[in-house]
Amino acid sequence: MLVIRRGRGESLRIGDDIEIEVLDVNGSQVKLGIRAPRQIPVVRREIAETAETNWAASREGPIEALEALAARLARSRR
Amino acid sequence: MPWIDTRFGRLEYDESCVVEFPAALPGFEDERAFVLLDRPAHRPVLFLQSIQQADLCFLTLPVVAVDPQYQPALSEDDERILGLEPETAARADLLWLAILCLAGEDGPTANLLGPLVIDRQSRRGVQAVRVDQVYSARHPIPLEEPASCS
Repeated sequence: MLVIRRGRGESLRIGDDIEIEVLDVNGSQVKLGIRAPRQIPVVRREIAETAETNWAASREGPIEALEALAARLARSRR
Repeated sequence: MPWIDTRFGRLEYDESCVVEFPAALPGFEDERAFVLLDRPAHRPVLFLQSIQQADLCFLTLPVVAVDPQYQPALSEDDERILGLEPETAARADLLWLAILCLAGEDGPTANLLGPLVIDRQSRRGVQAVRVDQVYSARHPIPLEEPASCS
């Protein structure tokens, strides 16, 4: 991973058209400003991960897999 | 009574059982209304069925069924979406569910990073994605076979 040290009011560029500026630093939190073209999605990592997991979860497996899971869960609860 | 054709056949539901997700779910930004189904044959799994999209149905488990020590955490934003006052966030009306993924390579997993939190009283829900990196979005589901009596 590339590591760059930046302070408040300083910024960096990724490629020609993405700019990230450190707007404020407060304790363990950093406030960032991001300038990027409209078509580049900017999403918090955990939200992106949740969206991916939701998509995977929405592709329903075979009903047998569900039935097997429910049966094993019911058994292991006993 | 309104109805929807699901993978389990035609489901009739009461308008008053619809759970509204004002902020939708990440990845499914148009989905704001679901019904929670408890099918005795598949307990303890609960189903979150979209009422707009017949083939969208999430399988869920209570978070404590996945991790008995699960520590719930709700951000201020998510409290606001649910319409809760901060001090009531731990109240018993909240249902905490983890979405299951059965199709993964490593066996069935549950999303403990972003549990669904449903207020049973107001019938409002939110996918409360945590920022604290304590839990995984693909937490293995404990499936202990019962000890054999040999």
